[in-house]
Amino acid sequence: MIAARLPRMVLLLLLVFTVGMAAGLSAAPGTSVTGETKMADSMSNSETLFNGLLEMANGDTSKLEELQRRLLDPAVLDVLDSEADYETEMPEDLYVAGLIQALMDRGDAPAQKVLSQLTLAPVWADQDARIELLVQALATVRPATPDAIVFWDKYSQPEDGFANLTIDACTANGSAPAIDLVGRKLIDSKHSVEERSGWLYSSVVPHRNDETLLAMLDALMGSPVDAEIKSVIVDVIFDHRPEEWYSIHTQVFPPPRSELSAESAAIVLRLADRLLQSDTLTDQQREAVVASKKQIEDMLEEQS
Amino acid sequence: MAKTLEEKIRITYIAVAVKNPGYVWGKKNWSFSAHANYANKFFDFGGNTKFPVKKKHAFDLPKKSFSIEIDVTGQRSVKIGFEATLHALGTKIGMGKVEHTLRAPFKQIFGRIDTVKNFSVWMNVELLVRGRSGVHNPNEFFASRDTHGGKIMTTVSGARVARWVEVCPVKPVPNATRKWPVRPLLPPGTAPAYENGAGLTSITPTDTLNVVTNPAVVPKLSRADADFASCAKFHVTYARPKSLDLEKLRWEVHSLGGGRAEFHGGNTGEDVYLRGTRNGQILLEAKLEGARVASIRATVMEIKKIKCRFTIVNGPKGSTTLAGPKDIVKHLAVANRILRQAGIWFVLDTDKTVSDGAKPTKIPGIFRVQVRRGITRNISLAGFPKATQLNYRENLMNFVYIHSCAPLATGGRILGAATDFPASRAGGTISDNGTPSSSWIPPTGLPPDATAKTNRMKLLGRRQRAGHPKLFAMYITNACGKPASEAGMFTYGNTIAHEIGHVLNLRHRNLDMKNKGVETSGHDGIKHPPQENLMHANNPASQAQDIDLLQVKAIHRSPLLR
Repeated sequence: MIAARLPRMVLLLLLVFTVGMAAGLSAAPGTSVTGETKMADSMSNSETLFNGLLEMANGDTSKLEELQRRLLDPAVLDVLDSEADYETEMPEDLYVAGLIQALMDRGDAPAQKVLSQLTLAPVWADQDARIELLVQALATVRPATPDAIVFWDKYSQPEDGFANLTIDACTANGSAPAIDLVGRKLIDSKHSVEERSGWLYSSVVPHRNDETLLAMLDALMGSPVDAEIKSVIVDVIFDHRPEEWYSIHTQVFPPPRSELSAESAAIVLRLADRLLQSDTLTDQQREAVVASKKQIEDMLEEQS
Repeated sequence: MAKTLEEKIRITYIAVAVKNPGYVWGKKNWSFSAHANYANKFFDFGGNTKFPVKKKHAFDLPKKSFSIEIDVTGQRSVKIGFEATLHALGTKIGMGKVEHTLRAPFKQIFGRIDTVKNFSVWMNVELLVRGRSGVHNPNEFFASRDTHGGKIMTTVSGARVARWVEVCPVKPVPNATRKWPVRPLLPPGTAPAYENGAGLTSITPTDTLNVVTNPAVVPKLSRADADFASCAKFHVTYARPKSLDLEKLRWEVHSLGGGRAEFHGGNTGEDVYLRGTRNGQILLEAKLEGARVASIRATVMEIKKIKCRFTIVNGPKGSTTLAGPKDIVKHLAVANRILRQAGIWFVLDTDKTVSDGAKPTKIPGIFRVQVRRGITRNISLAGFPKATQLNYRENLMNFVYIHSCAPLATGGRILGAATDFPASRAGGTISDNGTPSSSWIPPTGLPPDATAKTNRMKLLGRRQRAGHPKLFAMYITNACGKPASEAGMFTYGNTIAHEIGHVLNLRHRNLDMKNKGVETSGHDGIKHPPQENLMHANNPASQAQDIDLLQVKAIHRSPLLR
C-alpha cells in the first residue's frame, strides 16, 4: 500500500518544492514519507504549496502568469485540496478558495485575466466547488467579459446547483452584460417559476436600487413574461415581507430608499404610475406601490 | 494576624466557542493571545499556536499555554485580556478581544465572556494558597493585607455573616451584570461565592436523558421508570459565601395550580431529582435551617413523543450529504436530550410509505432520495425548498438532510432552516406571569428584586407552501461539520433542536437582534437571557442550550403536538 503511494508522494513533494522555490520559499523542513505521518505531511504540504501560490497571487505580472499555469495543472490542484477535502469542506473553506479570494481582492486587470482563463479550463470544471468559486469570483470583474457571460450562462441551467449563485453573482456584478443575462434567465421558462421567483427575492432585493437592474426589470414588466414573475417583480421593487419570503435564518434586506439615485428613482416612479393605472395589482401590492411612491417623492422633494 | 503571606492567582483560559469564523475564503485558523498586567508589569501568554475554526464549534485551549500564575501581593487590581486573531490569506485580522479588571480581594471565578460577534471564551481564576490551587478549606487564609494599608484578614470563604443561594432556571447561567440577577448587598468581607452555572460543552447520544439540568419541565414518570438518569435534576447554581454547607439544604415541592412532583433519592443537599406525578406547575424551594433561600418554578407533564422521519437528499457525486443514517440516529439522540427540557421527544416513525423515488435505509424512519444537484446544493434563500417536500408524511415532523444552502449575503452559510409549519394554536403571542419569572426575566419576583410582571412573547406565524397544509419540515446542511465527530454531533443535534423550535413557532431570543440598526422580525420581543437560550440566532451549541417556561407553553400549543 505504501509502495503504491510512493510515486504520488514523490510528485507531491516535488510540487511543493518547486512552487515554494518559485515563490522564493524553501520546502517544509523535516518532511517525511512514512505512513504514520502521511496525514500531517499532506496537510503541511498543502499549506506550504498554498503559501507559495499566495505569494504569486500577490506578485507581479510574471508571478501571476506562473500562478495561472500552476492553477491549470491538475496535479497542483490535487495537492492543494484533496478529494476528501472537496467532499467534506464547503467550497469557501478550501485552500483554492483562498487563492481565488486573493485574486478578487487584487482586482486589477492581470488578476481578472487569470480568473477569466480559469473559466475556460476543463480541469476547473472537474469539481463543483471550483465552479462555484469561479461563478462568485467573476462578480468582481466589471464590466463582465464575454467569457464570463458564457461561463455564467453555462452554469445557470435548471436545477443545476449553480444557478442561484450565478444569478446572485450577476446582480452583484451589476454591469449591463451581466444584468442582460439575468433578464434572459428570468424569461426562460425552462426554469420553473419557483426557481426564478427565488432569484428575484434573494438576488434582486439587495440590489433593488441599481439603475441597470431596475431598467431591466422595468422592461420585463412590458414583456410577455409569466404573470407570476411580474407579480414578484412588483413585490421586490416596492415591498419587503421578510417573514413571508424567507425562512427566519435566510432573510435578505433591501438597501435604504435614501440611497436611490435620481435616475433609479425616476424608473421606480414611472413604473409605479403605470402599475397604479393597471388592474394587475393585489390590494396588498397597490398599498405597497402607493407607499413606496410617496416615500420616494417625499425624499426627492426634501433633496430639492 | 500580622503575618504576611504571598498572594498568587492563576488565570486560565479554558475553551473557545466560535460564532463567526471570519467570512473570508480559504482555510481559516485563529490564534489567541492573553495578557495580564498591573503596576507596569505586563505578562503575555497563549503562544502562537493556530487553531482551525468552524462556525458554531467549540474547542479546548491547551492548559499549558493558556494558564499563568501571577504574584498579586499587595495589588488592588489586575487587568486581564484575551484576543483572537484570524490568519487567512497571509494576513492577520483581529476577531475581537475581551478585557476585564480583577479587583482585590481576588475571587475564584469560573465564567464565560462573550464578544458581540465572533466568539466566547471560558475562563477560570484560581486563588493559590501557598502554592496550591483548587477548592480551598474555607477557613484557610488566602492573604493577609496587613502590610498594605489594612487590618483585614481575608479568608477564602470569609465569616458566615450572610447567605444567598440561587437555583437559576437558565443553564448556562448568564453572566451577572449590575442589573441581573438582583442580589442583596452582603456585608463587606463576605467571602466569595460558590458557582455551578456552567453549561454543557458537549452532549453525546449516550448521555443520561436528564443531562440538561434545572429544566423547565419535570417529566411525569411512574415510580418504576424513575431513576437518577430520567428524573429532572435541579441544583444550586450560586451560593455565597461558598462556606455555606449546601448539604444542609432541604428542598420542598409546592403545587402551583395543580402540579405535583416527588423527590427521587431524597430531598436534601446541593442537588435533587424530581419525578412528576400530576400535570401542572410546581414551585421547588430550597430551605436552610427552616428559611427559604432559593426557589425555581417548573411544569410537570408527560414527555410528549412526536413521530418523525428523515430523508437524506443526495445529488450527484460531490453534492451528497456528509451524514448517513447511523449519524442521523445519533444527531436525533442529542437533539432529544436538549428538547426533553421542553417536554418533547422525537421518535422515528416506522411507517414504510415512500414517495418521490425515496428508498428506505436499514434504519426504519430514515430514507434516501436521489435528486438533481440543484435540489440539494446551494438551494435558494427564498421561498420553499423542493427538498423539504420530498417523501414527506403529513402531521409528523419531516427532517431533510441536504448538501447546502446558497451563501448568505453577509458571508457564511446557514446550518439548517425550518421551512414549513402552521401557526400556533396560541395565536401571535403567549404570556406568563408566574413567580419567579420565566428565565428570570427582570424583574424576577425574587426578593430583593421587584415583583414579576407579565411577560409576553411573540410567536412565529405560519409558513406554509400552497397545497401542503399538513407539512412540518426543516433541513440540515453539511455546514454543520463532520457528522460523526463529538463536536459535529453536538452541532447537528443543537441545530435540529433550534430549528424544531421554529417549527414549533418560537422566534429568536437574543439580547440584540438588529440588521443595519433596525430590529428584524425574527425576535421574540424578550431580551433575556442574552446569549444562552436555544433560540439564540447565532450562538454555538456550547452556549445556546436553554428552553424556558414561556417557550414550553408555546411549544405545546403547536399543531404538531396535537
